[in-house]
Amino acid sequence: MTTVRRFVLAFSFALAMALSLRAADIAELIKKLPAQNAEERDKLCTDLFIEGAPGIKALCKMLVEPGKGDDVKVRFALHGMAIHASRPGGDTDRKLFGETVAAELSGDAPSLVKAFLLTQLRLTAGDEQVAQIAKFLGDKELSDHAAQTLLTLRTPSVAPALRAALATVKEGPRVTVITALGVLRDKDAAAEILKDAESPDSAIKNAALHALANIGDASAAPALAKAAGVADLYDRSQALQASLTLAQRLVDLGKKAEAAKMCRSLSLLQIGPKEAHIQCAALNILAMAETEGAFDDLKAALKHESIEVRVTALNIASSIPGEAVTKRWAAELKTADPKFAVEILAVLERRNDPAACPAITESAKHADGSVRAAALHAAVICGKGALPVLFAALGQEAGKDNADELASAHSALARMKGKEINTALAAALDGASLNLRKALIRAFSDRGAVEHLAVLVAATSDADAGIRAIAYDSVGFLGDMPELTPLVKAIVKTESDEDRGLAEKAAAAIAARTEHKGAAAALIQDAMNGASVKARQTLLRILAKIGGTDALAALKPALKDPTAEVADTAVRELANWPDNSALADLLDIAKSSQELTHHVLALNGYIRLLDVGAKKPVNERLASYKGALELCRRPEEKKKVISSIQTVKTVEAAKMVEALMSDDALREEACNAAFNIAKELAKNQKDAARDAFEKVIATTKREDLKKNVQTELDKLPKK
Amino acid sequence: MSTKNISRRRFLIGATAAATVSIVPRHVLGGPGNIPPSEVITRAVIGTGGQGMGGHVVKNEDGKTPVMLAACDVDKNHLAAALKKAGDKCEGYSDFRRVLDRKDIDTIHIATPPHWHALVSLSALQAGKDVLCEKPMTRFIHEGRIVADAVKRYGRVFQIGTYGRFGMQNDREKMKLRKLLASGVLGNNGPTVRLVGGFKIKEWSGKINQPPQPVPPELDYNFWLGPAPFKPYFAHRVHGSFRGYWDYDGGGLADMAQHFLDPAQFYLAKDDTSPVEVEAVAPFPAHPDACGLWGRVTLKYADGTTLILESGEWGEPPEDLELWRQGEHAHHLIKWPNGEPVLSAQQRAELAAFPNPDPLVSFQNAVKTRKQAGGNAEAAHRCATIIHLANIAIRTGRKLKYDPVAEQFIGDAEANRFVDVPYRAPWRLEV
Repeated sequence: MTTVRRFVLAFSFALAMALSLRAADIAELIKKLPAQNAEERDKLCTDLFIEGAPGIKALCKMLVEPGKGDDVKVRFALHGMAIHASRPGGDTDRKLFGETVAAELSGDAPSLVKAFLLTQLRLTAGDEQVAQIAKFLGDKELSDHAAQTLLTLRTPSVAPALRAALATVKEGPRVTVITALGVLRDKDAAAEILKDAESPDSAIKNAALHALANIGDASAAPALAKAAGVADLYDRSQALQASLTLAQRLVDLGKKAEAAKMCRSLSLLQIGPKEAHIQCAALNILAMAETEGAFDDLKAALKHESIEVRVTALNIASSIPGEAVTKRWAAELKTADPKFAVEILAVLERRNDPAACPAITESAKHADGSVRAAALHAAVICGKGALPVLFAALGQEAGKDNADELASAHSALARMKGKEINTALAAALDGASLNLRKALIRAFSDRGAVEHLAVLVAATSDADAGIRAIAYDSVGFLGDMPELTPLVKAIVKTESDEDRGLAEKAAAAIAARTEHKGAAAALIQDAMNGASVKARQTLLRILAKIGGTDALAALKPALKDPTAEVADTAVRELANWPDNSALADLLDIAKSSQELTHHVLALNGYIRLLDVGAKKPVNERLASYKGALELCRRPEEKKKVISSIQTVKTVEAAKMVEALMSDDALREEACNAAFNIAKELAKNQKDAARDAFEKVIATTKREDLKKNVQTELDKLPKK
Repeated sequence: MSTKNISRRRFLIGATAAATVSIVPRHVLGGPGNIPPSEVITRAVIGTGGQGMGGHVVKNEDGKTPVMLAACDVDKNHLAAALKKAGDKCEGYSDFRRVLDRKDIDTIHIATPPHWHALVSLSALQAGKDVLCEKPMTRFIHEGRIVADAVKRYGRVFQIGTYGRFGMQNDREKMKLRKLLASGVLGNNGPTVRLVGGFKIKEWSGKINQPPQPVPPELDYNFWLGPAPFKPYFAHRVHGSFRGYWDYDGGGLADMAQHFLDPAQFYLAKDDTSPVEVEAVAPFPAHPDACGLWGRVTLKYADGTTLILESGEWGEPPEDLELWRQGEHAHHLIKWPNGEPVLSAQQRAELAAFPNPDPLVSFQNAVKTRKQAGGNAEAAHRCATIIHLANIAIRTGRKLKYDPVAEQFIGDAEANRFVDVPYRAPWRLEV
């Protein structure tokens, strides 16, 4: 043996040992996959790539066909490496992984292993791997995998590689390659694909027609038209869809005249209302191709018998820009019949172009009510200029015949943009008819016109009850502290129950949301002095809307008011208090009141507030519930406490309700609560849960509950 | 003419339809509680497995106008069960394309596995049908864009098969929040919404290293795979448990989250946009074939609104989880990172002037009135996008930036390879 041969052998042996060691190392490394946190992930990925191409090759060799062994960790590793390599900035790893895995494709691995490698290449391969992948385009088992990988890559060499394959591939793979070229919209492939447009193989033919359409090759139009003329509905539908696709692509390529011609012929092709969708699609593409040039088509479509076509035309007509287009639609109003005029007005409103306003305001005086209503609705786009027609409409007495007109006018006034509209509304109030004044005041509220709140407050004293009602409602909706003062005054001053009710509703709305709770409470406290019984009851209800300690301090004297109605209202409102600042006073009344009604009210309020606000520690909550239970004089309240206890999912809570199971009046509620608590305990405290379940089964008389408990009990391990 | 050839839309066209109805036998129109054919919205159900049989396949009642005109499944046993339930006047198909040829069918109910949802939706829209599609709407983001565009192009109605938003519109507090966020008065001060648990990620995980099995004779497995890559058959890959495989669905997250996220997206007024940032905490890597576990996904919108999804089935629970819990419910937990917003008088005025949305329209009413359905394609696509973004973050293990207008990841070309996944030929997605 020569020295050289000896050296080669020794080197080969050393290399084989190194590879074998490397494979062993890698096998150990991949056992840790998948990583459980970011730190592990980064380390494992780095370690896997340290081994370089030999490491990746070794992993590829470990892959086996599904069912022929366990390569789970290997697949995790290769996939993880592919994902890691595909990260932004990971170009070196990506190139290494792509090159190495693509090289493995030429080996003798089973097809399903190669399919897996092709999938990993979707994330990592570059243009330089296209040729290696494209070799499989003619392979019946791998053609789709190869094509899907190439379509994912979309690098410069992909289309030429697919075109090259087209020259040789047959049958299924040919469909795959044609479809892929269509997806890529490869113009250079069109001539070759056109040869397949009349293939006797329907799969190839359909693939070719769709590919040609998607490429946007106009030479396919005659073939598509021929295909659409067939009797078979599916084939016809396919051909029509391909024609629409072609028309769209022609628009995309700037061949708008050809696209428009196709769309018009498609519209003609439709055979009845069941193909209205084709006309909808054709109209959409036509509008993209011709914009203004599609005016007459859209005009016809707006009169179409199919609602689908009309809605589509409305949407398109509304979106084609330009004042000239607006004016053309407006001009159509002069000759349009009422039905068409309504459609045009909808178009004009959606176009939101002031150029339409003269025609819109004119139409508001149309002889036909439906046209007037549509015009008033559309008047929203006209701003101040349309106010006279809106005011004229809103001044009418409401009746059966003009409901749509009034609704449209109200809606337009509410939606019209700009503060100057609010100013104009305020100016119009003087001398307005009663109907119009009501509409204007309502509009202030709808428009959120806070700068005119003084007008609304003044209207709460209007001689007309209808105006007052709308004004109170509007003040309540928009107002804050400055408006609370006149409302409180009105509550004290008025002798009308109805007005007091309106003022209360408005004041309560403000009180509930104001940030100035202290000032609001002080205002009401002052107003209580010397006020009538009804007014004081009203004010107490408003205090309860404010909540918090200041309002509570204002309410507390009323608890001992010598007038029974006032004291009763105070207790009721305390029981409705929105926050737990009232807990101590409620507890006091619950303990000491000799009157059962007040005891019950206070206790119910107390129980409710125990669960309001920040959650207290579990022990404190249970102690509170225990205290509440001791105060209860009736089972009804005890049941409420049980309901609260069951929200605490602890052994102690379970014990508390179990202790109540022996009380016949509380048995079922207690059993149910114990069941609910125990279900949660079953996750971590199985013995405690089992005890509770068994107690419930032994106690409850309800068969359905017994069954449910048994089901849960059966899930637990036996003792 | 048979009664099944008379449908609601034909009646809408007026005199011709009226004449058509006049020749329908009297017994078909009469009888207490019967709906006249002109009002019947006919349907075909594509995919008659568990979900299809659950709510879509209905029985045609004797003596009444039939509703259920066709059922389609690539599994003969599923199809037979559907036909048995629907009764006569319902025809069976194994190729959905042939169902779409039927001119007497108004609506297509899609209850296939999700890898078929977009393709069948698109084909149905192109055939002039209105579509009710089970959730998740799609398997990847680009599919949703195509379907939403097709709905507009063909003037169709689309409704996703989850209805939480319809109930949510009766929740005054949530609707106040919706208006607040839609109005934009808050600026970039959106809330954080946390959804904890209920994603069933263990239940809907795939099985790994399964040996191939013989395809059962009743199943056309190649058609079942459709646009998905060919992989050897084993029973867990199909029929219900398909949810656990990336090629057909996206695990428990894809299966369940649209139920939870759709109402959240609705009250957060995000039906027309998507998150701009997403990050996940999950094991790495996810298995290349089988969906698995994850812990948390955080998705942030441009206005600061943040969605946090907690699986509750993997990893350590966050320290503050108890603070988030409210009783038994752990979904839709809303917090304001910068405190509850307090509006100025001006902001309240702006808010008051902001229009209230119209009530949501049911699928049935949308089909009749041609209005947009409450769970329309754009909204459903945006919701499915949240799910896909979450799953892509889980699969890539990377924090990703997303452009909701271009519907592409920013600065991560490889992550975009999950946005648009090529179909297996001859299936294609083009509009």
